[in-house]
Amino acid sequence: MPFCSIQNNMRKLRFNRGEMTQQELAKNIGVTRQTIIAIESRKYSPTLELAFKIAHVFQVPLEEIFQYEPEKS
Amino acid sequence: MNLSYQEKSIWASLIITSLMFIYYFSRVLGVLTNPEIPETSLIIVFIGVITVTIFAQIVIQSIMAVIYRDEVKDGGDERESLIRLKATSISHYVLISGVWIACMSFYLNPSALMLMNVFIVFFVVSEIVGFVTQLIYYQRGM
Repeated sequence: MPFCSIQNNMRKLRFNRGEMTQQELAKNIGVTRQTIIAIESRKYSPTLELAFKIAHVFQVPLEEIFQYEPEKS
Repeated sequence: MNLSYQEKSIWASLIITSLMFIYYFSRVLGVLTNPEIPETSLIIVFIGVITVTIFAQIVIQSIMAVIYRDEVKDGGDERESLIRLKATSISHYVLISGVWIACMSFYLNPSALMLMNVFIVFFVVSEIVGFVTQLIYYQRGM
């Protein structure tokens, strides 16, 4: 199964925001819950616009949520 | 397996398209193996298959949209759009290959029935490839 090279802390951040559900986050940023699941499980890298929307919801800088992880050769 | 509304909708389209064209090609096979059946009867079968397919799609997709109304989102989000675009791109190559093969088959065997059915085969295959590609991307990720 392919994993994208961008890892994220969304699950942890949701937990820290009063256990925000995937559905609540999805509604806040205008995507489906399946897309949140795909991002959290690193099956999908969001666009820059969506990444900023997520950062805006959590009120943290982008790099606190997403980190680039180079592929090991 | 936990499927989203989009995946269920694609599965429905895949099943309807496959069933309808399995029926159509079984009738084509009947015409090819039995010379007593007129070739022109296939035109009526084809129009019937297209009509039933469109009707079945409208009914089933409408029922699904009502059942899963909480999941239905106009136009989908960016991930769904990307999956659709990638699948359309792959299905486009299959269709273009089919057009070339149909042209070559007409050169080798200039029959209207043959030409029409080679076009239909590749149209159906490209549709199925498009649906299957979307399902793979939904399950496997991108």
